Amino acid sequence: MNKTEPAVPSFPVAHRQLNDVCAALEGVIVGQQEVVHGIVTAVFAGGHVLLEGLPGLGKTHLAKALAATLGLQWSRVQCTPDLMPADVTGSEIFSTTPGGGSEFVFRPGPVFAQLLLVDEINRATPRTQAALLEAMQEMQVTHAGTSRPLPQPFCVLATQNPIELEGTYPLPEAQLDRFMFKIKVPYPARDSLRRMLEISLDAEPANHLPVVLDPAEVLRLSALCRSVLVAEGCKQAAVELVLATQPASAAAHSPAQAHIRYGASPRALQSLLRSARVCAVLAGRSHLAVDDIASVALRTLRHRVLLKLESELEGHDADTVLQEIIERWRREH
Amino acid sequence: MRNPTTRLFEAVRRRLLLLRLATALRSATWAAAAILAALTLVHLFVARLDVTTVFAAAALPWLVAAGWIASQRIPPEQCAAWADRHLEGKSAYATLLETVGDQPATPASPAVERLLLWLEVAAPRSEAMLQARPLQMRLAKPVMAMCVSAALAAILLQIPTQDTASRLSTSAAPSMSQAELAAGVTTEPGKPPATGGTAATAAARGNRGPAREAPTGAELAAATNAGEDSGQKALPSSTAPATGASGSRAASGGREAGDSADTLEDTGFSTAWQGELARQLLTAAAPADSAPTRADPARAGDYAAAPGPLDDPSAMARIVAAPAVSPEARPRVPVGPAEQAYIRAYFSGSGASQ
Repeated sequence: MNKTEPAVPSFPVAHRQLNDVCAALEGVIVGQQEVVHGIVTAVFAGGHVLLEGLPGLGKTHLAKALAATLGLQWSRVQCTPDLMPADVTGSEIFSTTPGGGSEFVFRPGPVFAQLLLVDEINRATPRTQAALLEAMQEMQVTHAGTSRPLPQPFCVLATQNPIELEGTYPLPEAQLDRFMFKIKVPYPARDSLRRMLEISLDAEPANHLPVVLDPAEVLRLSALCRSVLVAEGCKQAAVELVLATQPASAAAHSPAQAHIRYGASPRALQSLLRSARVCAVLAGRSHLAVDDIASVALRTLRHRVLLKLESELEGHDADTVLQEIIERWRREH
Repeated sequence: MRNPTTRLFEAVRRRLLLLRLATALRSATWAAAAILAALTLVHLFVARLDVTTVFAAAALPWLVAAGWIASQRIPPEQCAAWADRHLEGKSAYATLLETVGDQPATPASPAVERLLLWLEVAAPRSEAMLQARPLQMRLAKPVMAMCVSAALAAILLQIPTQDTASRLSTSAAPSMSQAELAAGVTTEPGKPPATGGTAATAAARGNRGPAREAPTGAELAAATNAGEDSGQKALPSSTAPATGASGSRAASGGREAGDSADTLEDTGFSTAWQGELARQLLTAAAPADSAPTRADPARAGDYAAAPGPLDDPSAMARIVAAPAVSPEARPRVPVGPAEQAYIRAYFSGSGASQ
């Protein structure tokens, strides 16, 4: 290890820091512990998050608070049907040089940030949505034949509204698969609403959040999470879970055969284990447990399975089918 | 591997062995109960079985279970997986075995170091959980089932089976109807059926009352010869009217008039018994002194002075009373018009009223 690089923190330190980040976020995003844990997990696992919830539930507020807590440079894209890809990735403009010449200069778009909030992503056209594909997967943007890497860490928080679907463009499966988690933001409970009034009625608490970590520490913690020990049994359990959602697989569970048209992808398997490792560190362990996989299974798989049309018409949704599959899988492992 | 984890693995190995022993005992007990029940049914309905054979077969599952238990080896991986699943190990024990193995721990990375520290706390806790976890053998039901099966088998295997009963019936004493048939054998040839039948009935009744007509010695000898032959056709033809049969079924090739449920073979009369009974009667009827049994042309016979074959009261006492064996129940044979006509003619000829 190079002496100039700061040492990778130990697991107890990482455990404490991650919990500090969660505690700081829960201080301003009241009553959304599951959402906060999910987003922190995804950020440290190197994934992206799709937040789904009604307006006014604090999704933008959460993104700002996360950026402030982690000391990340963040930007925001408000998606509309006339949003162009260049509005996201950047464009080349004709500019004069100091020497009197002229040339095309690349002006980076909002995607060149460590935390990108893409608000109402389903209102952007498929072409603009596709512009995010390369950024989310390859962590780079190619413009005019030139690839430009994105800053690290890089995380996309996209939001979408489950209602008001007129004039929207549902995300294609290929793009949905690039989100590590799809997190549903529920209504806060009664006590949480009461407490939220006390802290945010006349103030913007996200503006006063302390910086718990800096981007370099985020990267080091991410590296530490990748060193979590994963037993063969846990890997096998994760594989079994993914196979259980695939109706064509011999290991498919009966709910999958009855309701699912397309199951989870191999990328889902990777996301399962990457995010579960962060959960292990959050729990103070340096080894993965099957419980960690179970805790991230639903939010990892719910946007990666496609139900049959008749099942949707019968009122089934991906969450109920997956919960049944996960319960069965948990009994087996 | 450090001591708490090693101790835990040993305790888990012992627990797993006990669990497998319980499983083997349960399986063997259920299997023994099933075997006992099945073999008892076989004994009752199919073929006679020996008690020793049945209980030896019931011991077979126990031998298999004992062999299976003796062959069991529980590797540390199984102990680790069980501890992870049931003792809140959270995959730590399996991870430890995969990363460190059985060698003394040398932390190669912060993750392994952290794992060992975690296990130092977790292993005693898991051990305490293991101690508090009850060992459920669940042997009550199978043991009860096996005891019931064994008791039933011990009782029912003493009951003779069908083939045993049929073997016994050949050597057992005749029933009253057989006695009647035996008496019918003594009917004098050439007599009309009415008198023969009446005599036979009277002779049979003679066992029960004083109105008994004694057969002659020649008749008894003929009956003895007939009884010594095996088969129905060995019976003298004169017995047919006495028993109500009009001829052998084999000769007629089918059911004829009189071939009803009261024929000789329908009564289950044993031909072996004919000979035996006749022999007993002959022995009983023989005079103590050598009375002339053949006509002597040299002197005039005075057979009237000679005692009758059964005039001796002690002769009847020498006849062994036999236990009654009821004939087998048979489905009722419908009497056709031809049989009815025959019966009507028989009774009108004999002067009896129906």
